[in-house]
Amino acid sequence: MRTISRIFSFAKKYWLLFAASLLCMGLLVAINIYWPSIQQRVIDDCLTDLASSPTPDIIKANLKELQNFAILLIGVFLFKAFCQFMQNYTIEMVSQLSVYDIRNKLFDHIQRLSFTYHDDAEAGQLISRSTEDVEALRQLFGPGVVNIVVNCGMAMAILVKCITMDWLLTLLGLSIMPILGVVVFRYSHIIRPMYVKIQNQVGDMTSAITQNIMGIRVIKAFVREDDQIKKFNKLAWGLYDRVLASTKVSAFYGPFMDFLAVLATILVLWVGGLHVIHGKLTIGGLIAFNTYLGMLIGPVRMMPFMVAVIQNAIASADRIFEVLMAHPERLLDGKTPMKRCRGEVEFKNVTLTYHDGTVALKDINLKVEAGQMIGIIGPTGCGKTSLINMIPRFYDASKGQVLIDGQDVKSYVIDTLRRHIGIVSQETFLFADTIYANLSYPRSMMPIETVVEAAKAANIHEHIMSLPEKYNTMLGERGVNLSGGQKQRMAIARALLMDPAILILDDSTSAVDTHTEALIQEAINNAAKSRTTFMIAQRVSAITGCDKIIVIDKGRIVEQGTHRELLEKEGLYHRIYNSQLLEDSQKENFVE
Amino acid sequence: MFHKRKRPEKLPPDPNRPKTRLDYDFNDDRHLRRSFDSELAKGAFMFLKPYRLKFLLAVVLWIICSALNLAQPWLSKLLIDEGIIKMNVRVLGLLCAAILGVHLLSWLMSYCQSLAFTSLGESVANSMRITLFSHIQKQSLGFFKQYPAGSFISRIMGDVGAIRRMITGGAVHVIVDSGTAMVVFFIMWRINRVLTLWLLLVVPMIVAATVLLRKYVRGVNREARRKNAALIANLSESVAGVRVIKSFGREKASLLGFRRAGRDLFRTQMRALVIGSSYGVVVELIQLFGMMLVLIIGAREISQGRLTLGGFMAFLGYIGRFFDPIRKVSNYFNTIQVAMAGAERIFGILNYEPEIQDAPGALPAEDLKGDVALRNVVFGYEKDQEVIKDVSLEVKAGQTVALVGSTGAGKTTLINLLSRQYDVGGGSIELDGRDIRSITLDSLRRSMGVVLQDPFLFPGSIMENIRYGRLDASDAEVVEAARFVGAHEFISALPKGYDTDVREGASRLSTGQKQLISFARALIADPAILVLDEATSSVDTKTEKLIQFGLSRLFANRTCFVVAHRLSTIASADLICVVEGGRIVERGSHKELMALENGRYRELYSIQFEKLRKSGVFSAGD
Repeated sequence: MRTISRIFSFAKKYWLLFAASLLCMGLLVAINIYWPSIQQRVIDDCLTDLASSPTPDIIKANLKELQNFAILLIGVFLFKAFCQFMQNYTIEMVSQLSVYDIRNKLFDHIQRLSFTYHDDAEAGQLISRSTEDVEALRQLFGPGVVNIVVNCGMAMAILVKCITMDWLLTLLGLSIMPILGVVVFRYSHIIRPMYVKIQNQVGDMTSAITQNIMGIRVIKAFVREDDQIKKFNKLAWGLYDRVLASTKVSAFYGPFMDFLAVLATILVLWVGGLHVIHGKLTIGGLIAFNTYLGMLIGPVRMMPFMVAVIQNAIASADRIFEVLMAHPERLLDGKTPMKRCRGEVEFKNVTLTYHDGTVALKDINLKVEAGQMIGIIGPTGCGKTSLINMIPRFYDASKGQVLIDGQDVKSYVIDTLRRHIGIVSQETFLFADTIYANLSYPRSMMPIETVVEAAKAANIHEHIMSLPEKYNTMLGERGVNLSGGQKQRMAIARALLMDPAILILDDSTSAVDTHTEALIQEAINNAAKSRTTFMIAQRVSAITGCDKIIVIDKGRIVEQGTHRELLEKEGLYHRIYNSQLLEDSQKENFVE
Repeated sequence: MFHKRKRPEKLPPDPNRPKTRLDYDFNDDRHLRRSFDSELAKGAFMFLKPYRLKFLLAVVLWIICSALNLAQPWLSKLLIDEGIIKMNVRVLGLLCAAILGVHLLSWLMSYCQSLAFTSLGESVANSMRITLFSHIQKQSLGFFKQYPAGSFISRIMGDVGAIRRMITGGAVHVIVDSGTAMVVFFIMWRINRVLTLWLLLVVPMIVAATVLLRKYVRGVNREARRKNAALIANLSESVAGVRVIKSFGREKASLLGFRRAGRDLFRTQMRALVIGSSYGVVVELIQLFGMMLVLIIGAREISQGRLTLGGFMAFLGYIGRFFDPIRKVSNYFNTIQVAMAGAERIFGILNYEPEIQDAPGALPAEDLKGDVALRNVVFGYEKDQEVIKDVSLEVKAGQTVALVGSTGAGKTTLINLLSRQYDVGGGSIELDGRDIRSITLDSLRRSMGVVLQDPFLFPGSIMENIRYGRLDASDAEVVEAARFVGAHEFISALPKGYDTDVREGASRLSTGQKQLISFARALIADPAILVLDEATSSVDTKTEKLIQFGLSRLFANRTCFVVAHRLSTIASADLICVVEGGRIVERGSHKELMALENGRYRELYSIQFEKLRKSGVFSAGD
């Protein structure tokens, strides 16, 4: 119940529209009820007269009356059409606008959720909540509410009308309804999982095709085409079986429900016919009664679908609220806007514990002067990325402080803080947009000259110019795919265009060949000028030129100093260095 | 609600202005409507041929159902005229029983008809899907470059549906519905001629309204779907890229873009509602007009004794049954248009003859030694653009050949020519002295193992993926192969070992590990010739070491072609070919090539080596 009231709190803003819609619904119900009674009057007042005793006077009077009825019918119809349209329009408005609000709220919220949240959340889940679940709510606001209100109102009004006309016939007609109700619910219970199965099978086929196309070279190389066709054949006929199974159910139940409805009508016709013969009811009355009964069957058949809509909406709303309940970063925001940034960074006794209890970093103390270049090295999983993630407050220190320009990062307004920190992360994400739009992402619509300059500094300009549409080339599915190294350099250019005081490079060169590595290294050197730079690397060769190198192992800083100092220490750094030297010496052998 | 903001005036196109995605029009279903084309339709209906008995059965059943459906107003007429008005209790009871009986029968018949009809439709759709899928498998690589991957899904799943609707749903509808309309017309004619003639006035109105308005309805619905897809795409990207958005502090801009997409969708949906309901209103209005005609004319007829009250009621009951089929048949024109567009796309694929096929009289290759010879090979993807210019190369069985050169030099093309993914434009390629075009394609490719730069694994267990190389390999053989290339160690360290699903482990398996699995896959096929396309360039040094070991085991006892960037892979080759501008400019062993003054290889090598040296690894130690 609480969920339902919360669901409708979204639509509260639009109560006026909703009220208008309800009004139209009421009018519609009234007209629908009124309609058969006009029909009855036409038959009883005019047609029966005409059929029985056709004297010229009566004929004339009756025809005149008929014309009046025709005009009335057209008037009523036009009014009905107007009400119907207004009702549809207003309710659609309410549902679409509420959904628009919910979706935007969700979207905004998702964007504000912390990195910790996104680490755990699956992207697909978040997307399905903002699309499918929101759609389920729209179903409730729109068709759902209309159906429930209209059908309930209609059923009530019809019942009253029927009872006043002939209570015995009403009882007779209603006797079928409970059976019909049971059948209807049973049907919806059986058919729904079958539809899900069909959907799943279609999904399987789709992914089979995708896999086939993606792996076509492997398939051809191993000559496995027949095998693939066989598999697809099986999937396709599996779909056939499932569709046919569901057809069996719906083809049985659909006419069955019709049959029950007809049974009620026949009972009424038979008993009602006897009534007419005995003069207890007019023919027009009987026909009108039957029409009403037919109108009652619609709502009964709709029942399980209305229940399903409500159930779906509640389940979806729960999932949506679950996301909305998660705390956004905003709550942790500081007060001071960061106007200028010199780029001094200091870690003071910092300990970082993740919410699952693992300690990522312990007692980190590090002071970095503005403009320095810091290399960070250590085995995989030692906490290198965690360390730099604390500078832009992607994670907050559990103990101790991270200071920028002498002030705790927590005291800054997050947006302004991040604008001074450029990050090139391990996995580069580019948007499905043009190269220009991707590069000028930090601030939209930067002059092309600035963008080109940054691209040159990042060693990617030449490649961009080799593309057919240069800076206007679309990236992504519908456009050009860049290699890993090219993406890295794009990311460096993008970070440069933000002109950050602090630049963070997270292992940008590990997954590329030596040629690209050299290109990236040069780009990094260009980028690092006059900024505080943190550079995580796996290879010693990437960080030898740094002002200071930090060696991290198991969440602690175990060594720090320049390349030469660290080599003299003969500690972990020295060991890493030697093992890498050994690998490379194989290559040296070729020279001789 | 939204302010109606006026769109800014379109600026004159400035060629220098940088573009964003808003400048690109992705409206790629402009060709979705197409007029009737008898050739295409004939092709589509060919799929119906094997199922013509099923089709006949469906039509017959449908006719029976329609007949039963039509009998009901007639029985009701009798019930009123003969039973109630003539006050005959026995007839009343009998007719009630008759109506019930007809309904029971119609229940049974409609059950059979639904089954027959669904079975027919799905069979036809399946045979189309499978034909398409099989046809795609036969294509050579050039074909796949022409179509984006997503387009196959929309063809096999989407367009097939549209055609199925045309040739089963549509055809049956047209036959049955026009039949129904005629029968109804006949019955109405029997009841009262004058009324029926008046009613004919309404028919053209319904046809016109349906044909014209439904077009708009579907157009706007399609637009709404597209807007919805755009919204979801925007959303997915924002969620996937949330870290980038946050680190650049661009949450607000991204919300703005999302709102805009939402607003677009809202407007389109409201428009769809208006257009959709106006169609409904127009059709209802026309039908009401028909009813009015019947009412007024009917009253005259009744007064003159030419029509009974029951007949009048029956007539009213038949009006709907007369208009419905007419509406459906009119709507069929739209179905045809959509289906035609689908058929055009599907036959675009089906009529595409695979470029590479077995030559007449081609013989399978058996027990190849692995001697390879390229003789004056010339090739271009497009006419007049030769990518390979006169390449000749002789490789003895068991040798390893490394192809070196900058990107776009033609290395990968050469390799693709070897396994006949493309045919040479001039010259020939020989295997054990036989032109590869005289060898059956299947046996040629079976004797050749290919390991690609991006190791593609199929969803399924590691075991299945390795076995993909040779389907009858036993579990023990799979493990043996994995052990041989050095993959066994990490596979058995996984919690589920060889049963690990490569999909769920997607993040757990590194590129290098996937590459090792693909080595094992190639090994188990035991090809006479092995081709590696930059298989080692995308892995870090640690994995590279692992891979090198696997490679050396793979190379033994077979002819190998390697395209590589890493020097360590190249230097141990028997023969190194430097490819440049589609020609082999230098060839020889590592030592020989290094000895060449001003040699291209020597230059390439020293550049790479210099970079390594400069980065401090070699100098810092001394």
